[in-house]
Amino acid sequence: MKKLISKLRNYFAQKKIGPDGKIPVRVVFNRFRQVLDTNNRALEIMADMGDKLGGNYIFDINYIRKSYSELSDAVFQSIYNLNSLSRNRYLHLHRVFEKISDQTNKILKGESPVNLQEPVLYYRDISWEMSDEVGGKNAGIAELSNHLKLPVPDGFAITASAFRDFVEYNRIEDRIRALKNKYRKAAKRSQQEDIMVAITFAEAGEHETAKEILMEENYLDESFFAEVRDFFRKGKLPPYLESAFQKSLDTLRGKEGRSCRIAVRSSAEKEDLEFSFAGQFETVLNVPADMKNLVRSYKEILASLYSPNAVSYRELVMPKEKPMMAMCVVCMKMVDAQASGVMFTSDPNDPDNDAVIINANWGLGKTVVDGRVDADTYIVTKDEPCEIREKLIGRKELSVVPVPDGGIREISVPPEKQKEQCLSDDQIKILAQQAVLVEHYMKKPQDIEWSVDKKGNIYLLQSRRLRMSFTAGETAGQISSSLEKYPVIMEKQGKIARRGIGAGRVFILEKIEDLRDFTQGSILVAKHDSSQFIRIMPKASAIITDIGTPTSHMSNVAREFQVPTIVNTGTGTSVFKNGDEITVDAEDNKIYAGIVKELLRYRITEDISLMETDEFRLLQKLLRYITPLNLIDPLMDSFVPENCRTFHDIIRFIHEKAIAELVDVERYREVLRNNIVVKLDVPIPTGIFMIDIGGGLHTTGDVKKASLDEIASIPFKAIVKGMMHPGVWHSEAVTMKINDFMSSMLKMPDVSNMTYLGENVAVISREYVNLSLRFGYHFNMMDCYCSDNVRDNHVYFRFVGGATDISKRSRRAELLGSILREFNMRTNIKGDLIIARTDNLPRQEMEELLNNLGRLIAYSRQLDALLDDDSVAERYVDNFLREKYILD
Amino acid sequence: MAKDKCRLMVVDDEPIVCRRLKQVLEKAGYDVDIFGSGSSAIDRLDNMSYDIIMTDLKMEGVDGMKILEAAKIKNPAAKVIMITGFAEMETAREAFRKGVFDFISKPVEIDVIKEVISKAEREIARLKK
Repeated sequence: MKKLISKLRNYFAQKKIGPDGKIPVRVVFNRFRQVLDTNNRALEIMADMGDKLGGNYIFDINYIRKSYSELSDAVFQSIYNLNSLSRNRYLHLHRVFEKISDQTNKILKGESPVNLQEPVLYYRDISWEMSDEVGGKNAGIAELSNHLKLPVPDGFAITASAFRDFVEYNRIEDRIRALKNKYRKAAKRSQQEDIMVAITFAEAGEHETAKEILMEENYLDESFFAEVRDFFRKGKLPPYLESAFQKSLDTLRGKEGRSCRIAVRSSAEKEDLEFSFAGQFETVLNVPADMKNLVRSYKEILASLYSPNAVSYRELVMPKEKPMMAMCVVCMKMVDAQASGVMFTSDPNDPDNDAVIINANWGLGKTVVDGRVDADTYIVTKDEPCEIREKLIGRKELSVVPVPDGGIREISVPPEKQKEQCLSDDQIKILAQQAVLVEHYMKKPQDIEWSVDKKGNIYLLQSRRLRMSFTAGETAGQISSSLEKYPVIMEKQGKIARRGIGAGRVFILEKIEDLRDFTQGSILVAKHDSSQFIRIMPKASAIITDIGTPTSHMSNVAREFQVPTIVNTGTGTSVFKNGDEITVDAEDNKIYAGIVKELLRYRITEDISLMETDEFRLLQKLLRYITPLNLIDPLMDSFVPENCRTFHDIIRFIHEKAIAELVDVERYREVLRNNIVVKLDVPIPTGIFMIDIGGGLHTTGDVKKASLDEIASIPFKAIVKGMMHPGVWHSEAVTMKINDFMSSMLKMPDVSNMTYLGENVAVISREYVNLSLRFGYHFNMMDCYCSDNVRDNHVYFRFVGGATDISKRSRRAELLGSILREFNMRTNIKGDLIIARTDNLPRQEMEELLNNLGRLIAYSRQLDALLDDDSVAERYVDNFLREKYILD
Repeated sequence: MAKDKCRLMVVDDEPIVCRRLKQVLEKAGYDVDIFGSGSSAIDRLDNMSYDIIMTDLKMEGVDGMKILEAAKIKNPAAKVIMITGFAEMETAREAFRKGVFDFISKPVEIDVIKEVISKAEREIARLKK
């Protein structure tokens, strides 16, 4: 690493630097362009990779490797380019880059990334892609809590890394091998018989069968497995594991101290994912939360990997399993359960029976899970608000309860409570609503365990995929003909951003604020993409937009939440009506009127879920270190290279710092002193000077000023046109009202006086403008790229106020913010700082937006003056949006 | 619009490609058999005829080119579509000489695959007349 840095330093030392130690301005701007280029390339590859998660493509491992290596190159070059622009101010980024690359390279090699070699992880730190490291059950619990915000008892996961260390520390694999040999020798005779049988098969041409016989380890009997289980039970914890367990226990116990009890459950590597392993491994309930008991239960669960049931199940479903399957463990606070049970989010025997089925008994759920009691059955409709359709109250003669010293026992239920309904109607409905939410999010019917504590609080304990036992009425092949009877409202319009099938009622979004009225299971139909949709993603059955791209932030989020999404349909909001029932087939890009049961059933029964393929999971894991954006606010102290956790963070950081290099006032003075600046010659006194870095002006040679027609820069021309729009530049009216104040608002730079220069500057090329404006006390910066290539296009708008007190400035920021939001820009306001941005709009829309922003810049000069009166200011905003620029 | 169902063979040594193609194409109404290796596909060609064959070009052992040859010997009317990660000109030329119907390079959008297959289907229908 050090070597790399010194190499770079040497390289920079040789770079062209003027005799005064300064880099010539054209070089500066060229480097700036290079930063933008490499950044754009990186973002493009990222978007392309994210796009593949939408399920609309067939890709393989080579694609993942190739894209990753191109991305990694682009990010590296961007860092390099920023450093040459800033004279090595950000060499540290290389170190950050190396750190992230270490992790991604490990993922590509199929290893666990470094930071997941934690022996223990709290649920808040677990995400779905970590299922290999924490096991399926733990990953599922974390999803319920982190993504769906459903109530789950506090707890932590003991990871696969802990398991591997335990196995290694106790040399368990070696000992199993030795034990196998011992048994094999003892069974030599019978093995010879096997060989004879195998040869007979082989001679008959049945090579596969012969091979299977030879592979079978049928000399291993129950006593072998009992010995292996003892290896685990008698094993010792490595010291570092011991301290990690202790620390986690202390945190979990918190104020409860010694009275705290936990449930310790298995969460095997593939449990609840591809294979259910339901009930094959150990669960220890009501364990006192101390080291002795936790460790004992932990080892007991590890040992259950070799229980006779688990072994035969594993052989049945994973015959080729070679390395030892890792056993992770769930540690979760016990719920002081009044009643518990299981719910199915669909009827496993009849998918057309659109209901949640809840089984409940007093005490812990064990009696229900084991099917040992005549439990209550509640059948609840899945449509909001979930009505109870049927209640069958069982005769619940026994229940299982915790014992004060630890452990559980069976008790008989007092006769008067046996026929009593053990949940209130409200609790039944809430449980059903939660079930619908979980199914909706997981996209498959679920089997959920839950408990209600003595205070009436509901907790979900785990959720796994429910195996449907019926055979589907139609196979995928038959579906295409049965769909023909449904009317198609829309076909092949727009782009699929996330594949899938969803049905529900149309919810047309007029204003972002209306998102709060969005109901569970509806289909969002909106004019534009917005990252704000994240708020309703867990509830949405599908999303349709008039305008948008599959590479937008919203599309990324839709993929993360697996919401079927079609963007850029052009006419969605006018074709669909609020409240209509429709079915979105974002696989074939068709939208049907009504609920198409065949498609919904197809979704449930399709045997291969995209998410369960290895390549898909690899890509998803990899993107975890690539796409999430953690560095958001450049004004925060945390906006430093050290806090870049993903490639996207690095790119974001580079973008911000590259612009900062340009808008650096010192730098501008330097620029203006050494360069030919061209004055913008338009009828309004903007005081803007242009610096053409390539193709920004039609004029050539040594000119002092240029008119609107002479501007070739697409984005800058659009902005200037907006500023010149009749009525928006309202100097007279404002001047009349507040004379003295306004005179300071429009500070005209005086060319003869260099100290004022550098405040209103536009750096332009044909497709780019970086505009820095200072009108009075406002400081305004825009960075735009506008070309025919949608992917490259962006607008970055930053506005900071000054002069007046902060409350007035914040009010002005709010007002401007509300306008920017009307323009569908992603707008962040912090005090009096506004940052608004938009990307990936087509050129024509970009020009419209820039024109509007031009009007806003001109118009906003007035707002300051009117801040004393909120109602007046609000009216101005309103006027602006109705294109009424006259002050009244 | 009851269509004459085409029988499709899909050969790719990447399981994800086979599984996804099967899922997508069955939903579109085709009968699809998938094969994870060239040799198993060749074995099947001995006793089963397919209208359309999609095969990966680069595979260990029996590759797409061999499948193309075998398929054309069995049934000259079969349409063979080659899937490849690297569309090399040399290979492409050789494949066209040997009668490949079309080339598709990975990663590929599902709609593109469907389009190529329906093009092959139309071609088959045209030749039957």
